[in-house]
Amino acid sequence: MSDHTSELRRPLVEAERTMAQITEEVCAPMGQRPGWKWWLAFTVAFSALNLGIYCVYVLVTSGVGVWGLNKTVGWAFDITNFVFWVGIGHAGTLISAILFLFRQRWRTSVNRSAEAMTLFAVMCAALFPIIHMGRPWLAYWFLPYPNGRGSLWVNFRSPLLWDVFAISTYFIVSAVFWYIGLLPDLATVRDRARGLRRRIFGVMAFGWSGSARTWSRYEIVYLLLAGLATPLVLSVHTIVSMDFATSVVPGWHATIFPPYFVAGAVFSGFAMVLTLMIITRSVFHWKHLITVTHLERMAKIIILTGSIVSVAYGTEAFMAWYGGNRYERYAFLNRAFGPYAWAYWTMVTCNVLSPHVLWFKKVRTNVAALFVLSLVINVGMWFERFVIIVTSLHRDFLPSSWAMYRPTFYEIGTLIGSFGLFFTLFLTFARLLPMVSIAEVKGVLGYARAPKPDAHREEAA
Amino acid sequence: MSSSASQKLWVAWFEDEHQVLAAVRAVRASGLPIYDVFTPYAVPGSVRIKQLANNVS
Repeated sequence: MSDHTSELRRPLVEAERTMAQITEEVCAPMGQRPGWKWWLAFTVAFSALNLGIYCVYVLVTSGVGVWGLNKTVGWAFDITNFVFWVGIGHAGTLISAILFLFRQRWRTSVNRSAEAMTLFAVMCAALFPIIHMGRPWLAYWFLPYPNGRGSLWVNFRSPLLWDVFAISTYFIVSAVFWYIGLLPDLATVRDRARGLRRRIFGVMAFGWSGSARTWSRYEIVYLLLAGLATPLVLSVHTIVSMDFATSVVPGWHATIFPPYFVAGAVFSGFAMVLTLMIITRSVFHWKHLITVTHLERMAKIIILTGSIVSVAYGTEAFMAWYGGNRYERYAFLNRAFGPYAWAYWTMVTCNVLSPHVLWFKKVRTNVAALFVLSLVINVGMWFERFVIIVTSLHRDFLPSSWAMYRPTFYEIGTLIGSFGLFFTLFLTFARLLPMVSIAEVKGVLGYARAPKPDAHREEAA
Repeated sequence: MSSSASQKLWVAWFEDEHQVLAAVRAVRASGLPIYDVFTPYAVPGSVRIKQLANNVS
């Protein structure tokens, strides 16, 4: 890279590319027949999805009794999965909205996939409270609309209802944000396509012309949506945390939950973005678009949010001791040394200890190490939710009601099915739409590069 | 634009955003109307281009 203008900054697109080459490269997966790697991944993901569908079918036809729940542990695997997927959904909008407002131009190569990841993760999350109802066909009772059910009216004082509002709002805003960002690229695909494909993308592009007027309006709308989406990133997991924090269950009743949950969500979300981006750059040969610099910056955010999560674990434990409430103290001792201690220490190892290897630049810039670490963090964050939910419930105030919880085949199958749904949607997205924002990447082609004064002459020649 | 022989339409192609901005300013200063400005990405200050190219509605 002899053409750097600054030794402090590296180009965001590492290879010398023209705008036409960027268009070609990003649109290539959409125009070609998928290779065997894509088919293999799709077959695995779709099989997992079908397992999940089967498990949900058995659940709906047989009842919630097919799960391992009991009178003491009424929330377990299902709500663990719900909180896990909502958390995963946080990184997309954070990358899109918050990093956009902070003018972090490195977001350009990863924002599109991260936003899509958010949408798919929220879809997976929404599935779990619905199937947990036992009668999912009555899910519309969540919504407060005039009805003839008398006293069966939603409880506005319950955070569970605000979860419905928060998550549905988050999904709608994220979807609009994602689609608005897609418009210039849909027009690019339209202009390259022929026949029916051209018509479809023409309709989807809403007549985008790339004129100063459209760009000017686009920038204003994008900025407004970013401003609207930013508080949602914070509010969604705050409300999810209140599902627990407003109860009186030892281990849940804590004021630290909202910031702790938000940091954990961003932590796990970025780990998932890392996983997906590392696979994407390898499969589509986009190492110059999704560079090690991108991965390193995401790793730095993981250190920050991981450290906040570690402090939250410590604060929770400290307050359990310092607060003097015997039930609270027991809940934390039980987490660390009770029958689910294995889950607690898995969580601590994955979420508290493992991210600290990222303090070393050698690790942050080693793609294989980052990939393994991103998987470890996601395992850890799943266990965090399991620990919070199951270990707090299984031994409450009355020792006579203590019970153990063990997941059944149908619960594990539903979790696998949710991963199947997520990856089926993501792989389909990879075939149908540009996974990298073509317009935004073109805007950073000259970043940290010296301008080429004779470029125009070269082009003409 | 081409209905009158006295009217001419000039189309210009620029390599980068700085040249576009400079050209828009120069054309505007000379008093010529600008029909439109098309870019493949959001040039920083596209709102400014719109203001400079006063007849881009």
